[in-house]
Amino acid sequence: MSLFREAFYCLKAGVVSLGYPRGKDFIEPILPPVNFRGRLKVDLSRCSACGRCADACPARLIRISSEGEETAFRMEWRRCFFCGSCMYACPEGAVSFSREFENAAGTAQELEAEGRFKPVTGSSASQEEK
Amino acid sequence: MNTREFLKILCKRSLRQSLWIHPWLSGGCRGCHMEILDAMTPYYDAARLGIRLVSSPRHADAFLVSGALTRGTASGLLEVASSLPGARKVLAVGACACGGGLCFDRKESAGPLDELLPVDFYVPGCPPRPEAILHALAVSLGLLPVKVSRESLIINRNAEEAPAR
Amino acid sequence: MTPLIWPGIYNLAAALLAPLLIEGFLLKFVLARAQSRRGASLYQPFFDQLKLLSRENHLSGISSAWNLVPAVSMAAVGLSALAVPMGFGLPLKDGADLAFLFSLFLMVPVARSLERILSSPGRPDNCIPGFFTAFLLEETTFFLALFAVAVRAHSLQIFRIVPWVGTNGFSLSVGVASLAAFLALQIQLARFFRGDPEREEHLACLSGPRLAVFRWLFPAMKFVQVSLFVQVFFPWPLLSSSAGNMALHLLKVLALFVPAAFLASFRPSSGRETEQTIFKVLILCAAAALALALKGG
Repeated sequence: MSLFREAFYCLKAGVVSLGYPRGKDFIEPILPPVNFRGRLKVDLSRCSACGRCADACPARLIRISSEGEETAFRMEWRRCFFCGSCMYACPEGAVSFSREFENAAGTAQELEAEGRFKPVTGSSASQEEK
Repeated sequence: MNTREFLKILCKRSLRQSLWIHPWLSGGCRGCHMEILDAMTPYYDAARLGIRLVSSPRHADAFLVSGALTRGTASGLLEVASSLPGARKVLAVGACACGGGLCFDRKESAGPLDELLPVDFYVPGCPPRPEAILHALAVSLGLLPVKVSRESLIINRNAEEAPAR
Repeated sequence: MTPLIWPGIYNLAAALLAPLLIEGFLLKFVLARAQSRRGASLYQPFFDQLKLLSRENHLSGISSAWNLVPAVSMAAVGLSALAVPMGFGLPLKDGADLAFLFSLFLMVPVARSLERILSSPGRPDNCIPGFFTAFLLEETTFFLALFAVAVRAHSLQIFRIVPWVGTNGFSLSVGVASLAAFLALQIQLARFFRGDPEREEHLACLSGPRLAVFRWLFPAMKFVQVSLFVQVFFPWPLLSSSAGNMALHLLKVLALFVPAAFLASFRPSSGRETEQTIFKVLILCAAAALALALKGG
């Protein structure tokens, strides 16, 4: 008897698949929720090169180094597990998470990020330490 | 083109419609393994794309390795990888397989997957969403382009938006 | 043996294509709907077989003489498809009898088991695979049920057994035999749809074109058996045009595959227990049918 009840519930539910990449009823695209932590987004125009994100990262991914006039921000995000410590540690609010989850890459070099910038003078929070 | 070439092309193109995957778990939190299995459930339904989970590595076209590699499981992994067919794709799923993950500097860790096997595609995430795994399988077949590059994280503009705190 | 050309070609084509079509139809419209998802495309089994043909053949420890095993199995299934009517007439008229058909069906698992025994010599507990014993028991009971009808028809030739029920109607022994044959078929068909490890346990060491052959072979044998069941026990209605007869036959075969797929989609885990209870009922029915037929009822 329970077999028929199970059959009834399954058949009543209809089709429940999300048709990735096009979404429910195969019309609108799939987007994760608003506070989903996808790929990292680093706004280098706000960065003051204080290095707090590099200290906060448990996986030691971020490296900030000065090369001559400019500063280089390097990150190898293969083993980033999206904890958010860098976002919470940044006093300027330069680090945030996008909603991008399609992060497959063919080589490990594609999963490295590098950017050169001139650091801005920091806000009062980071000026205290300096 | 003659019949033989036509048949060869037909058989190779059938791979796009029917990809058989073999997930392999080498310990850890098993979150990536659960996401791979979630991709087979009716909610995400990888079966409509022809993707099927096979229980024998000899049948597999794509080998999905997830979990933190340890010295104990590394030998098992090599044994399973030796019975994979020659034309296969090895995908490193999750932060632990791509680069060592959270415990990359421990003595039990055997490092990332590409120290043991040549990896064809990396799927970062902790764990990657089931849709991300489906995207990675489509990328491995050449159906979709790779969306990440060395510049995909950096924004160099005067951003007005503040991140959500 | 008087072979007929067009029915022979139709029978072989049906045995080649119909199992895959039926599998695709059932996977999309029965299993997928029962599991609340959109299934694969209708021609998914064809894509699977084509893809497998382009993979490498991973033979470990098997000598090349065992390339005969797929060829022998395919020939056995092809001959049995010729020996069974499928709505268009009987190609192998004088040479087809029940014993011939039974031996053809047995050839496939015997060859496969020999291959397994000889290719893994260090593992004696793996010699006779479980599917072979189960296969043998259910095949034998199916043919016992058909033997009951053969006893009533006083002949082992298939071209005499097939019209017998159509002309003489359902008697008690034929009814019990039809129930036994139906149950034997459903057990074997449910095994295909139940789940990956059980379905593929005997295929785990194959790959490439060899795997493609054996993945096709078992549904094809079931298709031939179900065709025989339909033609012996349910030949009505007989249409005048042969195209109508062929279409009706295929529809009846599809209708017989559906209950197994339906049950397997909801309770794949309890397959073994139901299988054992059904098997006990099945043995009783086959024995009862044979006894009644011998008594003349």
